[in-house]
Amino acid sequence: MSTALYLLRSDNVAARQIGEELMIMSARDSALFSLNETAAILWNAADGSTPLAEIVSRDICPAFDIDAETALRDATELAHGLAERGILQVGNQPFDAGSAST
Amino acid sequence: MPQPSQRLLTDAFDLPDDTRARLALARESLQRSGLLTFRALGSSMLPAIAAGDVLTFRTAAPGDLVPGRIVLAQTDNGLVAHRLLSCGGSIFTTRGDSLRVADAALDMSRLLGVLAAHYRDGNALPLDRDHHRLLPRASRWLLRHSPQIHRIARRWPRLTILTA
Amino acid sequence: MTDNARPHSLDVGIGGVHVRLRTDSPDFITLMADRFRGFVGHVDAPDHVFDVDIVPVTYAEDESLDGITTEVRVLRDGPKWRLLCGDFDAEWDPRTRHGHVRLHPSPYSLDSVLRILHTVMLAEQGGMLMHASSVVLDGKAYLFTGVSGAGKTTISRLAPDHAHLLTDEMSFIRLEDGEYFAYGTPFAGELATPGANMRAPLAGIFLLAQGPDNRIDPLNAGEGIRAVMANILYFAKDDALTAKVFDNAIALAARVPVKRLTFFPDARVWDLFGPTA
Repeated sequence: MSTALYLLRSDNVAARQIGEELMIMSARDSALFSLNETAAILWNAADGSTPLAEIVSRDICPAFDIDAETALRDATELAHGLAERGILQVGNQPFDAGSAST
Repeated sequence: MPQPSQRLLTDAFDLPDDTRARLALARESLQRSGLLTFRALGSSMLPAIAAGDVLTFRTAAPGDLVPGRIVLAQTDNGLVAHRLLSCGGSIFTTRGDSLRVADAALDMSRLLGVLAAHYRDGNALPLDRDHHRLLPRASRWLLRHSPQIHRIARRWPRLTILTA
Repeated sequence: MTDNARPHSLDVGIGGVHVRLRTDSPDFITLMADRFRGFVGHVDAPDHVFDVDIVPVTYAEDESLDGITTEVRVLRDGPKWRLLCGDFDAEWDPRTRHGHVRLHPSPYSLDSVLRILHTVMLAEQGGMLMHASSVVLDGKAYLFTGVSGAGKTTISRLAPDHAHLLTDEMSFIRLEDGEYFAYGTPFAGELATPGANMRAPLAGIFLLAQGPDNRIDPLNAGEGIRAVMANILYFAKDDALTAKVFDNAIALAARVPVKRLTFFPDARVWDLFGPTA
């Protein structure tokens, strides 16, 4: 995978941690999402400036029994899935500084 | 003006056997006459449809299934008249106008018909005459349908940390 | 507060919120008084005032009141809210607590405006309207919610004679000093009767399911929140208010037990309700 991928949390959503799940409410299309621990790690780390590969190596590989290549492939697919649902933005360049939502 | 069918379904929920019988009657009515008249219950389609309104549905023709149209769906709990969010492939999704979360996606075989006539206190109400007109302002949220709950799961086994 | 152009008025009090409707049509006042019977009565200082202008039904001429569009839009317009549908065009300023509505001469139109307005007002204060029936039994309110056809009206119809029906379809929940109360409303469903004009502390919310037996099962935190969110009455697409609605649902589910009630539709289901429900 030669092109770096950057992730940014969408700003028209509300995210709340409820026990083990991260619930995300999208105002745009009235969807309510429930992310498990792994997806939540990605979502919480999506600050717009950290490459996905770094998120995987820093936050995911140390905690799960998975090799970096597989983890990155799966995380990329997951990121695109979240983007399709409008709760994440993905791009090949860092997003503008200060645009990451909390 | 379509002729209403002979029987009005009033209670959406009664003994399970009775519900099944009513649903079977509804399907048969639609198949035979192409029409089904139905008294609206509940408030999930407010303000478009109020409890007590009389709705007539007809079997859908090609081109009828446009997002924004009010359709009749057969759910596990009975018949529901909600607005179509999307349909494609083998499934469709709907949502009540006053609800925040879309209904669970259903197989296309459960989409029984589209709204053909709407009566309130004996007066005919006009139907949304141009569904395409709905689309520009509604498309942002109507066309990007979402099932009620997305569970995005990616489970990897946790490392077992051994300590000496 | 008098308005010479709209000399006729009616005070409607729902959920502790009093709205004065002012209009030039005495017939419309009579219509509204009947529709909201049990919930009308003069107050010296209403919380909100709405000027109501009746617009004849002409489908072609009035762009905003086309009489045809059935989907409602609830939009923030600066500090004000705008409510638009084929049969009404309303504007409300929460700062001045004054609003103005143009609508077709239908009781349903004003009913819709009031319901929608309450969803916004309640959201701001931590409450909500829910697709649910609610009943007061022994001083406690119980809410019954679920998908269309799940049995919201049925279970309210089966309540004991000494219970009080708050509503068979549209529950009104307010947060007051950290406690949730359910209020009766005049928003009638298929039972076509207004609820009792009273309130009670909310003791439980039940997600209905059909089944051959009567049983109550717990829901985890996420399930409880989803059950509430799926049944909140809410129309606005405002990001900030949507986030507030979400937080309101989370807070409610954290404070009031949300459980699954599977029931067979006869009166014995109410044997489950008592001090330990």
